Amino acid sequence: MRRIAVPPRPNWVGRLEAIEFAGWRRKDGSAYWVEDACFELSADEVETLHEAAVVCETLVAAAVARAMEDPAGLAQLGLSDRLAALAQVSWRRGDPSLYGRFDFAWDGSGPPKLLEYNADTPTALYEAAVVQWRWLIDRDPEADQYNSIHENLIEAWRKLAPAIAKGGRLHLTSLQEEIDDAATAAYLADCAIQAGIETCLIDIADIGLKGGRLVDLEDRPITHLFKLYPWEWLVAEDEAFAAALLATDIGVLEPPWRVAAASKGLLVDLWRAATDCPYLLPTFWNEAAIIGDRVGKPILGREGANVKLRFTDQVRDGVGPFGGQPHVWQARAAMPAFDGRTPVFGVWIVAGAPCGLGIREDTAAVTGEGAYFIPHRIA
Amino acid sequence: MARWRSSAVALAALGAAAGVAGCNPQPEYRRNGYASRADCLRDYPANQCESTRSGGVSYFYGPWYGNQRTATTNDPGPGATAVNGRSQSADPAGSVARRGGFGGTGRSSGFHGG
Repeated sequence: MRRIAVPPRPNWVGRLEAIEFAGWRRKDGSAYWVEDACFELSADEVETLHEAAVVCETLVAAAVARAMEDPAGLAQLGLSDRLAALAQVSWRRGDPSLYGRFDFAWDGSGPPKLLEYNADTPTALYEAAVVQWRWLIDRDPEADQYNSIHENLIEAWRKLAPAIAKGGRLHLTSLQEEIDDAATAAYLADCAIQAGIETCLIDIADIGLKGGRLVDLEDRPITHLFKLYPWEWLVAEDEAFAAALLATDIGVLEPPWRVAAASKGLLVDLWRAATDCPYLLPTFWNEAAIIGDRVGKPILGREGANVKLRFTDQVRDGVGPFGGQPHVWQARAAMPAFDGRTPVFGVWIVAGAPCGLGIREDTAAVTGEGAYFIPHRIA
Repeated sequence: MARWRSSAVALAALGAAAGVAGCNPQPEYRRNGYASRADCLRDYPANQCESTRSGGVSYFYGPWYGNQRTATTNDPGPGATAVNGRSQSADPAGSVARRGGFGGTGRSSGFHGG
């Protein structure tokens, strides 16, 4: 595996904007998309990442199953009583998951190490599924890439389409002014359309409450909802809206049980159950259980906020709104920098199976809002 | 040798326009509805809160504005009650949709997806 410099495509900004990738640069004008470099992996290395994700998906499913039988355990994972009850019903009902992203630390040798599972509100999907695929084909139509996310998403929607059609349409909601969130929701809508589903994008604040039901801007009842918004916030923000979401028979993606999968607290249970798994890092509730460099993560934190570093050469408490949450403590993973940037390997899961890779890299020790997306190809 | 990548990645309607294209057109103008005058007054001055009575129940409207939420300058009031969803007012007789119940935490924290 190596990070190599490549010449930018002619008119690369125009090419990105032609596919409506408005997120190629951030609000401050700095580039998020890396055009002048890429990662090159061997087929064996791709196989290694794929296998790691297969194993982790199996381990997570088993850990979630255990958690659902343990109300105290769900509380420790950060689920309120209300959300825990909802998650248990959702799990036992077999509510399907659409997608998720495992983030791995990896230096290309040895096994990748699981950092976390983005199972409730994963973003950076459009650039992984479409933008880097276009980048690859523009450069070499015969080249390969670990990326069949697009067709897997369409197939997943196709399986969900009959149930959604009974309700009429699929609503997809996010904070529309957040470019990454809006792009993820819009791209998933595009895939749903290709699966024959009628869709409607709606800003999260535009969802209405009328007659005890959630409605869209035309007061049509919402029956199936893709929400790029954390469950723990949905059930806590407004009692009447939450009650309508919970009491009415709305099919929601990701389903409530995914909060347990997304909780960093589950990493403790994963480690406890499989200390011999090569893809897991030692993770504990008790900071003192780790001798040496360690990372503290809020159990339901996002975008690297409030992460604590306790390294020999660096001690840092990250800022953000999640500081009041319990933290889990994870042994520091070996994460070498390439050209001054540390990559995180995000393996995408669609309908329970790994099918693609998106690499983000950051000059900081914690991958956060300032990270870059760098495309990859298979050598 | 089998490829790891998709053979084709086609979009139904490019990027961010996709979902909107699959949705019926949104009304050009909208206004916030409230179950009580107090809720309306949290967002707008008194002379912009219009009361209406239906089925024996009173409810209140703020002024009309353009429907593009990103164009907040079109919203003549702070929209605190509607946008932050902190109003505990009841769904007024089920006749006017109340909006803004979701989204407050994400908009105030700046953190959401991941």
